[in-house]
Parts: sequence; C-alpha cells; structure tokens
Amino acid sequence: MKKLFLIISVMLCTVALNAQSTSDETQEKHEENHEQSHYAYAGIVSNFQKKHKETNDFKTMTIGPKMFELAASLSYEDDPEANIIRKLTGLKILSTESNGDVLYNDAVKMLNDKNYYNLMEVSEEQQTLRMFTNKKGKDITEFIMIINEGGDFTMIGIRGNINLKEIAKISNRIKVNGLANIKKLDE
Amino acid sequence: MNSDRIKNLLDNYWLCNTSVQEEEELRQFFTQDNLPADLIKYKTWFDYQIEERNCSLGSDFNANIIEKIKTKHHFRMRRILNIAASIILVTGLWYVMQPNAAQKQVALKDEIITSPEEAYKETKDVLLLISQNINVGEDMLIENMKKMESLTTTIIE
Repeated sequence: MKKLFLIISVMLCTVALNAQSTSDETQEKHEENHEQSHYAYAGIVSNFQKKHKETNDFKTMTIGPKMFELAASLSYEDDPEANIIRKLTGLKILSTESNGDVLYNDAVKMLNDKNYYNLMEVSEEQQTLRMFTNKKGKDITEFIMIINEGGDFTMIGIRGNINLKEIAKISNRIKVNGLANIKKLDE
Repeated sequence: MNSDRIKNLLDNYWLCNTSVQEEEELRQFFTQDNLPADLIKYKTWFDYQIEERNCSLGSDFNANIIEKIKTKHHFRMRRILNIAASIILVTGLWYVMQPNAAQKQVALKDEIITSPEEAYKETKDVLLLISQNINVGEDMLIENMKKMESLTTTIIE
C-alpha cells in the first residue's frame, strides 16, 4: 500500500512537472508577443495570412523592423543595395504549394479593396504575377508581389520607404556586370 | 510375552526376515513401559515408527495452504502493478523530456530572421527577384507599345 502511494505521488510529480513546463511555454509566448512588434511584419501580408491560415498550410519568412535596424548598421558601404535596404522596415514572404488560384484571386480582391495601386501584371506560360503599391503622400510605403505559379502561391511584402526605380536598377546592374564578365571571358 | 521370543524376533527383524505380523508384535511389545533393561535401548526405534505412522495433516492444513496461495497471488499482483507503474513513469518522463514537436514544426514553418546578416542577405535576394520582375514587366510593356505603334501606323496608312 505504501508503495502504491509512492508510485501515485511520483506520477503526480510528473504531471506537475509537465504542467509547469507548459506554463513556462505560455509565459514565453506572452513574452514573445510583447517583443513581437520588433520582429513582426505589420502589413497586409500578415492580414492575408490570418485570413487564410485555417485552410492553408503556409510557410513564412519574416524580417521585422528590429532586424532592419541592425542590418542597416552593418557596414556594407560598397553595396549599391545598402541604400535601399537601409530604408526598409519589414519584409515577409508567405508561400504555400496548394490553392494557388483561389489565394491569388482573393489576394487581388483584398488588395483592390484596400485601395492598393495595381502597378503591373506579368503573365507568362505557367506564372501569373502582380505587383501592388501602397502610398502615403508621394512615398511608396508598402510593396506587394503576388505570384501564382502552377498552383503554388507566393506573396511577398516589403515595407518602409521604397524607391522602385532604385530597385529596378538592381537587375540591370547585375545584367551589365554579367555581360562585362562574359566579355572578359571572350578576351 | 517372554523376552526370549522377543529377542529371537529382534534378531530376525534386523536380518529383515520378520513378517508384517511379527513386526507389529514387536512394535506392540515396545509400547509397554516396563521393559527388560537389555531391551530398553530399542524402544526409541519402535516408538518412532508408531509416532510416524500416526502422523497426519492438521485440521488447519487446507486453510494454511489456501492462505499461502493467496499471499503468493497477491505478491504477483503487486509485481505486475510495480511493472505497470514503472512503465507509466518511464513513458511519462519520456513525454515530459520530449521537445515539443508541434512547436518545433511551427518554428520551421514560420521563420523569423533574427540575425542581421541573414536579414540583409534575404532582403537582397527578394529585392533582386522584385527587380527582375519589374524589368520583365517593363520589357513586355515596351514590346506591346511597339506593336500598338505598328498597328496604328498600318491603320493610318
């Protein structure tokens, strides 16, 4: 009988331990929420994720304001993109490998409803892509790109002070560099 | 009963030549208290035989056995309980020690970049992707405009 009591008490201890670890977790989560604003993306991509997270298995990658602050302090003076990155405050990529058509259409609808400006649409064989911008005064404060590639859906959002002309130059520069390298090879 | 006959019987007894009846006679002889001095030493031997013959199971024998069986059974039950408890304990500990699988998955699924270098690199990749697509769009626009131009000129002509 004594042994039985001992066994039961040990079992209860285990349960208590478990309960404690879960309460630790909730506490951690609470702290996480408190700090979340530094690491989260507070834009329409998050709203879109919230709206569809029950029915879709999203993968996300987020870079919050805190990280951009720290990234800006990195000394990449020579990097031509450093100027663009320095002005950003958030980045979020949302992707899933199913429901592409539905999600794409809903994203277009949501962005139109929120008065995002439809910058351009690029349709290729397998891929449909749209870019949207949101302005505050003259400045672009949020840029959204949605892609439906054969049922795979991707939504990319960047926030901050966005200069699209500068961004457009990046790939040109890389092209030019690439061409220069090819020329060097020929010589 | 004369002691000569007993002595004679005894001699045969030691040589294993006595019959069952004769042996019984001997046993009966040795139950009496007044024995000749030279025969008294054999009394213990025959008393012991009678004693052993009267030996039987006590009235509480069955009860004792049943009780013993019960205690043994009880002991077995306890052992099973102990084993079960240890299994529960080990499983419980394993469950507690296990890193939360669901949480792990969430961490993999919802990646939050917490290194500035990585943030910088990822952002650069995304910017390049956006840049390429802007240029693809622009190229398409220019191409379409050229087509439109040629179309309008043919219409005018």
